[in-house]
Amino acid sequence: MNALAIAIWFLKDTLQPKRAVTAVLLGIIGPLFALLFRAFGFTPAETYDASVQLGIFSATLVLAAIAYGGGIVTSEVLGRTIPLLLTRPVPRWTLFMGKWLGAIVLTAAISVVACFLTAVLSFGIEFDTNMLLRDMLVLSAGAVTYVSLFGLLSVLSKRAWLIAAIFGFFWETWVTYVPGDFRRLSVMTYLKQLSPHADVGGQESPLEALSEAFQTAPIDPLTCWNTLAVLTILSLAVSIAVFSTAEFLPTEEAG
Amino acid sequence: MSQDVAPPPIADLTYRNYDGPKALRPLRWWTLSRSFIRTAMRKKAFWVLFGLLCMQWMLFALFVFINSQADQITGGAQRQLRAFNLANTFVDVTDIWIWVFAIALFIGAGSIAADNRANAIQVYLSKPLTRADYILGKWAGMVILLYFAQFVPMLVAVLYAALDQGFGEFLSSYPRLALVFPLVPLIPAVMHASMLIGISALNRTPAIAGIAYTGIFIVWNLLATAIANAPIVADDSRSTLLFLNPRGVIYGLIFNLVGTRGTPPGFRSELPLPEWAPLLGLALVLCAGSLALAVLRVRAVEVVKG
Amino acid sequence: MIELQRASRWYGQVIGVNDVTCTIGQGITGLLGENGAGKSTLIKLVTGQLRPTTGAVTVFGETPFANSSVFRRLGYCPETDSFYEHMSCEEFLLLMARLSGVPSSEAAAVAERSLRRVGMYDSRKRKLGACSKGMRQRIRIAQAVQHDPEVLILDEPMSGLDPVGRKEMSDLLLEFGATRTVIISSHILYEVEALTRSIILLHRGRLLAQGDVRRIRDLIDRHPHQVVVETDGSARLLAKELVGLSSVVAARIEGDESRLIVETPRPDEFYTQLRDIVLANNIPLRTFYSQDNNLEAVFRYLVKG
Repeated sequence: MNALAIAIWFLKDTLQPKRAVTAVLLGIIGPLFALLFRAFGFTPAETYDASVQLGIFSATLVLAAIAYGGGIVTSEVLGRTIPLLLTRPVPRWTLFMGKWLGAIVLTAAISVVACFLTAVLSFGIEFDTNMLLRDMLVLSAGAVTYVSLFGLLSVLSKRAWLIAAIFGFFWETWVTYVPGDFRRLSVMTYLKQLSPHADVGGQESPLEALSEAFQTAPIDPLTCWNTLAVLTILSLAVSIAVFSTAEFLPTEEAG
Repeated sequence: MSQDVAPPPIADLTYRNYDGPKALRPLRWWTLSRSFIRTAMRKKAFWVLFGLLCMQWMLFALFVFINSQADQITGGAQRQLRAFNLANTFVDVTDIWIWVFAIALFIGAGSIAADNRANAIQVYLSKPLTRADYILGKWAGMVILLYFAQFVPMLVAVLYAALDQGFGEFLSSYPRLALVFPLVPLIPAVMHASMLIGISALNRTPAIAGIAYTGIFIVWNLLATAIANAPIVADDSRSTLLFLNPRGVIYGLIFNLVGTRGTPPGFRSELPLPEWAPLLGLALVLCAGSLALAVLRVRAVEVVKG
Repeated sequence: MIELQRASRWYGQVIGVNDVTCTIGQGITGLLGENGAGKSTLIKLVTGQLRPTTGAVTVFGETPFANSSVFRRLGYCPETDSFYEHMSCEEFLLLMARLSGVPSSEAAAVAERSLRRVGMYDSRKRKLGACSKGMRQRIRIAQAVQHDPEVLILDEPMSGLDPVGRKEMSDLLLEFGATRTVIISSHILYEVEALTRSIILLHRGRLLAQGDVRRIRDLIDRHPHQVVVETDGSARLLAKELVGLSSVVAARIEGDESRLIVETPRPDEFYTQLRDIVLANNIPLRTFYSQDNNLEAVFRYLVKG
């Protein structure tokens, strides 16, 4: 069984009717935001910007990557099914790659479909195709990078989901407020540079005021793509190296 | 020589007709809470997160220290430092929600989910322990642990501030803060514990329960942030709408308790406090609703479908 | 086929397996020991889930850790009762067949065959989460044998099975053991005894004994065999004749003078002499048997001392 076959099995398994609820719930965040924002009087452009930025980039993409990427190895270890996999004549790197591919496809698909539905709910049928395609592409790239990062966490720790949640919802936000080039340590910075959306205005938090005082120059797109690519490749390489050589025994997360 | 009488083959079954009172051990729930607290405190990761929470309060101490050195600094920075308000700074630091959230996730996501997975609830409820004892035990353990995880570093930091200023001056300058700060950790503790108990009871996997709670916490907050800035929302409602979500409820109630919303951006005008009544209402609904979910889902039998 | 050379494995300060050297070949071998003896650790070393801290473990001449070519010829039935609970029995076996290298065109047939073999064909559509413990155990065994491995390692294979199931599993394992290497780790001594006389006995991580259980028994000098001889009231007469034999170290009469317990370090010699004495003295003999020439006695004597 090769990596592609494993990926297909993973997708079929995760998208079975009862188990697909998670994917559906993650996917409706953006469209739900769009419906509410339109109801609350935002313009179509504001609706789309806010829904995509807050609902899809900051929520759906990160949560899906945590759920599927962070569970690549952790779910098997905590579910105590890891011996069943590791005693098969399938190279460990193939096992990892298969689940990694499946997690990326799923995360990207949920984000992309959510983005499309958000565009339709915001603009009707008159959405800007170029902008939508750009966002879909960047979301897909974000899926690849986040899943790779969280996949690495799942190889290194059985609490990958907790570390990924702290990274995704704390580090990714706060580091952008730190003066200087600290923002370059955040994946979301590059994604937002590649797919900029207007901020939803209003009351400014002290951190946002501080951040504005230390504005830095934008990062050029090529650097963004290169950084995401390097991060992905490094994470994947280290994940495969560790998974192929480390020992994994079934364990349980105590209550 | 007496012969030993062999016992009858069928045992005495008269106990089956017993209908008298059952003497149950008082404070059964406390046994569970104690066990929960001990188990959590044995884990290294708990102490790592607690350490990070302590560092958050070291920030507060650092602000107090810098403020106390204001005389050594000249120019605009000195003027800004002199404008520092301890209560505002206290609230600013309390508003760093991530570490108490992370501790809550760590100890709470698997509180019932792990028992579901291991079928341990059947074992618990086969003892003289009611469902209420079980849920109360888990809830109380989480509340106590979360409370003290926040209170201990907070107390040290506030004591440092009080010593730095002099107790008398601290009490006269910040009477409200001195009075209410022990209550501040209770709000996040109760909210996180209640909601996590409910979500954990719905799941068999701690990771899924944790991700679900994170999703609800984050997404609702993002939604409220955006809606609060919507064009059709009246200006005087924005402040309250911004806080109508789990995270907002916790910190909105804390802001009301302390009496300030923190350092104004750019040291300009004060930010308006959200109305406490709707926040309290939402808090009660979320807590009661989550606990009700737990009561509905925790069962002594394993229901198998399929 | 399976070789351990001075293999040791530590978990921090705790020794799981301590300087074990043994070779396991074709046939059924029982892996025995108390709780915490090191059985599971040894199995994990052989199945490539762990590396030895010192020494070497080889299967088919290769290191098993993360070795696909070893796993192609090895089947493992773990003790842990964990599955993909949402899958049906059929789906699970299909997945395991594919992961074991069975081509997709044959996987369904292989899964069906293994379901029938373990008596689970009628329940193939049932979700694993809804299966009883015995059904899950059958599926666990099915996934281990369905790709026809040369080496089969089973950790507590009879756990949760009803008596009929145990009989069926025993027959299956005997069939396998005729042409393959089978290692069974179990606490249920009489079931292991029914399958094999070849054992490996571990205690506190160390190898206590390996080989034929009867040969091992014979070598346990400090615990002479206890032979029970039942007569029709002539136990005392028989005892008088037997105590003079060099092969008898002790004799005692139990109960109503019809039962004699004889201790002998050389049972084969004793049985020949007993026959001669009974015939010569015309002593009515009802039956005689050794009550500790078995696995349980070996286990008790070697582990407890």
